[in-house]
Amino acid sequence: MPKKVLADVVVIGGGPAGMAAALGARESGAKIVFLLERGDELGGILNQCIHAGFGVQRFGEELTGPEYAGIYKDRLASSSIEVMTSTLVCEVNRDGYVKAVNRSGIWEISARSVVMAMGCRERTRDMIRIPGTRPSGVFTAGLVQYMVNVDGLLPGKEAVILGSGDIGLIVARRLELEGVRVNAVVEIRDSLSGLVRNYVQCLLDFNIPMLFSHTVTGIRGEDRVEAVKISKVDNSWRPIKGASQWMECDCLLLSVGLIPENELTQRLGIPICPESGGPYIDEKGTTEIPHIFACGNVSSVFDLVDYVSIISERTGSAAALKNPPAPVSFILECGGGVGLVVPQRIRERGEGDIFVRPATALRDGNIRFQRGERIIYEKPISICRPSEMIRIPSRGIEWPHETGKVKIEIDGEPVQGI
Amino acid sequence: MKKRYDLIIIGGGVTGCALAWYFSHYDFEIALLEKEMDVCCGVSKANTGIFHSRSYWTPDTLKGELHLRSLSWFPRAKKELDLPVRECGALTVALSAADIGHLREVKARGRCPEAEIMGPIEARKREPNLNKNLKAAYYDPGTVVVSPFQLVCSLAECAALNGVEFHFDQHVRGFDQTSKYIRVLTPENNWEAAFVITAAGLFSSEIARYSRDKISDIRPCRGEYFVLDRDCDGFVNRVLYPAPRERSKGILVCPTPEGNVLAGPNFEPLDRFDSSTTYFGLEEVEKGAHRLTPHIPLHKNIRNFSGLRPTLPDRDFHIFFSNTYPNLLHLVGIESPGLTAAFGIAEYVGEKLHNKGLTLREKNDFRFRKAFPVFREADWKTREALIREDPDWGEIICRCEEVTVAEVKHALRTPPGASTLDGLKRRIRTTAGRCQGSFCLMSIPRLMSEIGNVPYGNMYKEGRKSPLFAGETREECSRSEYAEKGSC
Amino acid sequence: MENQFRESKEIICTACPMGCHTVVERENNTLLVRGARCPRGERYVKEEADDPRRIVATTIKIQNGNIRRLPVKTSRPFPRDQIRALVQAISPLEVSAPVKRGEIIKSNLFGENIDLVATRDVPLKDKKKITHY
Repeated sequence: MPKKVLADVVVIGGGPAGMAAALGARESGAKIVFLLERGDELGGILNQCIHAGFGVQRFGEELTGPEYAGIYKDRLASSSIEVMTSTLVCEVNRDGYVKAVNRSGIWEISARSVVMAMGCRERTRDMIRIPGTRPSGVFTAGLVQYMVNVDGLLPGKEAVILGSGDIGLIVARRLELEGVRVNAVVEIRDSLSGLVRNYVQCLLDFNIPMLFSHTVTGIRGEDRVEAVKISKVDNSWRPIKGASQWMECDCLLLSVGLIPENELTQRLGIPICPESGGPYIDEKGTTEIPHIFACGNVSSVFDLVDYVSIISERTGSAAALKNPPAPVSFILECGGGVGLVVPQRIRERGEGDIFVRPATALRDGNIRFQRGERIIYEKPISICRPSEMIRIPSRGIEWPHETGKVKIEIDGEPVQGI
Repeated sequence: MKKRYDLIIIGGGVTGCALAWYFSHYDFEIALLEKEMDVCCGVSKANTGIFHSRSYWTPDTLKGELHLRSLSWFPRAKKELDLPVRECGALTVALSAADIGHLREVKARGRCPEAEIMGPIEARKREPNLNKNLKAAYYDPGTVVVSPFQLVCSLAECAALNGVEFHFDQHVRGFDQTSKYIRVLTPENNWEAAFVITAAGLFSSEIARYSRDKISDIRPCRGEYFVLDRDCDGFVNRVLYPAPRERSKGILVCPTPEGNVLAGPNFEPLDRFDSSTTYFGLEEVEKGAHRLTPHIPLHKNIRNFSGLRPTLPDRDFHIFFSNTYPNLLHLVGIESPGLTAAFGIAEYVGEKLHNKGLTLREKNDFRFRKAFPVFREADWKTREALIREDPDWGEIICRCEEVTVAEVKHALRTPPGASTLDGLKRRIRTTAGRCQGSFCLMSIPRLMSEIGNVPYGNMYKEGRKSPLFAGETREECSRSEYAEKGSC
Repeated sequence: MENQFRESKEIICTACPMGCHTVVERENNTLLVRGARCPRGERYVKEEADDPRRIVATTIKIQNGNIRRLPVKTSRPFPRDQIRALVQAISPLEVSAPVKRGEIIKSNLFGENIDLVATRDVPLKDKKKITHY
C-alpha cells in the first residue's frame, strides 16, 4: 500500500528556494512540513557552484555555493522538517495531494498547501536548432559544471562556449583552471549577458577571447566534436552570409538560457506567464490556485540566490497560514524595455519586493510604473543589464486606491560590448 | 579448438537482428558481428519507425515482395518480441485535386477492405489539426508505428536469449575460404562459419567487394527529422502522409509509440556519408510539416536528427550469393521500407539458404522475449509492487522520461547489453527526453561505473571514437612551469 | 610584481555593476585613476592595479565520500597572478571522508598566510544504496 500521510505544507524541490520555503513554513507555525528533493542531497544547483559570490545580500558575507547551501542544510537538520531526498514527485493535484516515489515506495501526501520549488533546466542545442553532426562533446554548461566540480570529469581538452551568461563565464574559468583551453566565448547579442565582474575575473584573467554578435551555426565531427562553425550575425541575430569560420575544439558548451521547470504546474492547469516562464504569482508566491505556491527559479529565473532565499522564506510563511489570500489589486504588465516582472499580481500594497528584468542593457535611463496615466513609481537607473534584476521594494511604490493594471517601462541609452 | 559456427551474420541493424532472431528459431550455432559497440547504430537508428501497410508497397520489386511477406509475420513477431507498438493507422492527404488520383491508386494497390477515401470534413473529424484546405484523404487502418530502437533491441535480445552470440567492435576486413567454411577476417580474429550473411547497410556494397562481387556503389540519401516534446502527444493520432511523390513517401507527421510527434524526412541524395542536420533540410521539413498540419508546434522540438538511406541506383533490394564464396550471401541496398520488410527479408534469406543445403530444424525450446517493465508506463499498483521487489525501482534518475535505476541495471545487463550512453537511450530512453540528458547525465556515469563496471575513461556516447569525458580533474599533476612552486 | 605594471593600464571596475572603463597611470609611485565614477571604484581600481587578488575555488580528491571531489576555497583573496600555480600545487592533495565544512585542508599557502578550506560537508559513502547488483 502507498504510504499515506497528512501535512500542513509540502515543498517540491530541495534547492535554495525549497529549503528556504520549508524553513519559512516551519517558522510560521506549520507543524508538519515535507521537503521533497529528487537529487540525492539537498542544495540543488548550489552544490555545483563552488565559486564564491553568494550570500552578500542574505548573510552579509561572500560565500561559495556549497557553503551557502550548507547553512540551510544545517538549519533543516536541526528543524523537525521531514526531508526526503532521492524522491521524485510524479503527480500533484489541485487539492494539494502529492504523489512521490522513492526507494521506500510510493508516498501519498495530502497537504493543506503545496509549494512548487522545482527550479529550472537548461536550454539545449535542439531548442536553438544548431545544425550539424550529433557527436559526443556537446553539453549544457550547467551539466559541465556538475561534471567537473562534483564528479571530477572533464568534458574535453579544448572548448567553445556559446552564451555569455554567468554560468558560461564561470564554467570557462573552471575549465581553464583544470587545463582545458577555452578557445572562445561566443555571444549572439552585442553586449554581455552576464555580470561584468564575471567577465573580468573569468575571461580577462585567463585571456579567453569573447566574440559579440556571433553565434554557432554548425557542428562538425562524426564521433566527437572536431570543430564548430562560428558566424557573425546581423541586428536581428540572423547569420550573415560569408561571415563564418570553423573553429577547432573538442567540445561545445551551451549557456543559452534557463527554463523554469513547470511540467507539474502546467498539469494542474495553472496558467504560465509567457515572459517569466513561471506561473503568475502574487507578492507571496500564491498562484491562481490559492493553496498552491511557487517560488525561486520555477517562478522566474533569478540572478541572485539571495533574492531566491528571501522570497522563498516569505512564500513558505504564506503557505503555512490558513487564511485565504486577499483579492488581487494590481496586475503588473511588461512595457517597453522590460523583459519580465515577478510577481505579476499584487494583493497587498507595500508587501515584499518586485523584481524587474530589463530586456536589454541600458544606461542613464529611468524605470517607471504607471497606473493608467498616473506614474506611481519612477527612478533613474545608471545602468541595467538583462543579467541583473532590478529590485524594487513594494513599500516604495505609491500604490493608488484604484486597482487595476500597472505598466512597467524602462528607457535609456543602449550599451554595447562590456 | 576454434569455434565454428553454422551461420555468421555481419551487421547488427534491423536486418541483421531480424535474421538473427529468425535463425535462432532453428538448431544452429550463430554469431552476429557488428563493427560498433551495440546493435542499431547505423541506418536503423535514424528513420521514421513505421510498419507501412500493404497500401504503400512497391509492385514489381523485390522490396515490394518482401514488404508484403513481412506483413504476415507481424503478429507473430509482436508476440515473440513483446514489442510495444502503436496501431494507429494512417491518413494519406491530398492537398490538391490532382492528388486525389494518387489516393485512388494507393487504395487500389492496398486492396484493404477497411480502407476508405474520405472528404475533408470526415478527415478533419479524425485529425483536427490537418490542413483545412485538404481535398480528400485516404484512411488505412493497417499502418503501425514502432520505436526502431525497441524493435532492433528486442530482436537482438530475443536472439541472444535463444543462443545467438553478439560480438561487437568487429570490423570485417575480408573473406577467405577453408575446405568447408567461409572465414570472416577481422583485425583481431578469424571467424569461421558454414554460411555467412552480410547486412551492412551503408557499407553493404563495400563489404560485397571484399568478396570481389560486383555491385553498384551505395548512394546515401539523407532525411532530416524533428522530434517534438511528449507534451505534444495527441497533436496527431495517426500517421499523416502527403500524397505520394516520385522518390519517397514524402515528409510526414506521425505519433511515436512513446508519445512524441515526429516530422520528416526530406529526401536528399548525397555523395558522401554525412548525417549532419542542415538549415536547408530542416527548413524543408518544416515546410512539409506545415503543409500537412499548419499549426504543428515545432517550437516544442526536443531533437533534430538525420538518417541516411543506403540506396542503389535501381532503388531496390539486392540479395545474392557471392560469385567467389558460394555460401556467402550479400544483402545490399536495404533501404526504405527495410524496417517493415525485415521479417520478410529473414524468411526469404531462410529459403535461399535452405535451397543451398542448410537444414532448418526448428528448436523445441525457443524462448519468447519478455519486455522489462517501463516505470513511466506502469500503473501505480505495478510500480508499488516493483519497488517492493527491488528498491531500485523507486530511484528515478531521468525526470523527463521517469527512468529508474532498476531499468538502467536491466539495460546494462540484458544481453546484448548496453555499454554506451546511446545504447542506454535506445533501451530505456535516458537522454531522450526534453532536457536531452542535462539531468540524467549527473547520475548515468556513476551508475555505468558502479553497476556496469565501466571505467570513466571507457564511457562512450556511441562508438569507440566518441568518449564522453576527456579525463579527470586532479588526475595528473602536470610538470609544467608551475610545478616548481609546489612547495605549499 | 612591480615590473608587471609599468605605465598605464586599462581596468574595468567591478566594484559595482556600472562596469566603468578606467585607466590607471603610475607616476613616481603614485597611482592616478581616470574614468572611475565614485571613490569606491577608485579604491578598487588602485588595488586591482597594485595587487589584484581573488578568492580561488577549486576541488581536491576525496576518498570514501558520497561525492568524488571536495570543493575548497582560499580563506582570503589570493594573488591573481599565482592562481594557476596554486591550483597546480594543490593538485596532488587528497583527503578522506568524512570532512566538515570549514575544515582547513592546507594552511599558509605559498607563505601568504592564506588557508585552503573545505566548503562543504562530505559524509562517508553510503554503500548499501544500490541493493540488487
